[in-house]
Amino acid sequence: MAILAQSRVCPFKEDKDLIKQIDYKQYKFLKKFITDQGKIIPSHVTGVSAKYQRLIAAEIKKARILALLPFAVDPRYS
Amino acid sequence: MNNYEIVYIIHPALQEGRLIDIKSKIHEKITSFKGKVLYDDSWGKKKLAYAIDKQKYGTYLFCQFLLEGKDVQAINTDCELNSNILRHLITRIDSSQILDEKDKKEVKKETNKKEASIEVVKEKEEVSEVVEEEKEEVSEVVEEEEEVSEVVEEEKEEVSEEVEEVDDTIDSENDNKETQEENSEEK
Repeated sequence: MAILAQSRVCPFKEDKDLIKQIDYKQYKFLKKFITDQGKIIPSHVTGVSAKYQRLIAAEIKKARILALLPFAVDPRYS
Repeated sequence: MNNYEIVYIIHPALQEGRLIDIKSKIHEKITSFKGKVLYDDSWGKKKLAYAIDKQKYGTYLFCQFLLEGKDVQAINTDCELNSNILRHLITRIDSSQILDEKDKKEVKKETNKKEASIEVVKEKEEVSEVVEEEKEEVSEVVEEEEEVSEVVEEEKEEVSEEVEEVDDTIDSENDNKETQEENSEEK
């Protein structure tokens, strides 16, 4: 896993304009950082730096409160 | 004075007249505390990610306002006590995050462009994940054969790699495996 994390570059450092999209109102963008089950994908998989992973996690949790994103999805009933 | 924004979900059964009533009540409350409504928008009726009070749909309303910090609690309790508001969220924002009427259309255009660039990154990730899975499959094969002696294990690793490369010769190599096992038992 460590090798994979090294080979990836944070998408927010490559494109600074993406940082503005880390917002609970733009929940369709945040969907890229959750799994089909609704879990937040860890940063060592996506390659997002710790600074922006904290922001993403906070905004996803806000979107969950407003039912824009799910807390959990049971694949048997979806 | 700080900038805040509130998003609240209204019961889907309410008609537009009642919606405007609830909206104007909140706006009046803000102005009564010497606050100021800066931006107001309706996101329309949306499907909820999960049911709230047995409702699958809800009407989203959005508002940005300027208010003294100590008075925010009054608006919060108002929303909690109103049974027609399913859910609400008040957050503090920077002055740079305040939206204009022009932003409504621009935001939608920007998202389309950037979604495309992110998808390219995701495709790269998927490729590397596939490589991982292949490695895991190989290791699983090795684990199954732990019971057999070490010499035979090494031979079978080579055999399993050959199986992935050439599908047609699977049967003949399986025969080879069986003969190897017989040999090890004899030893």
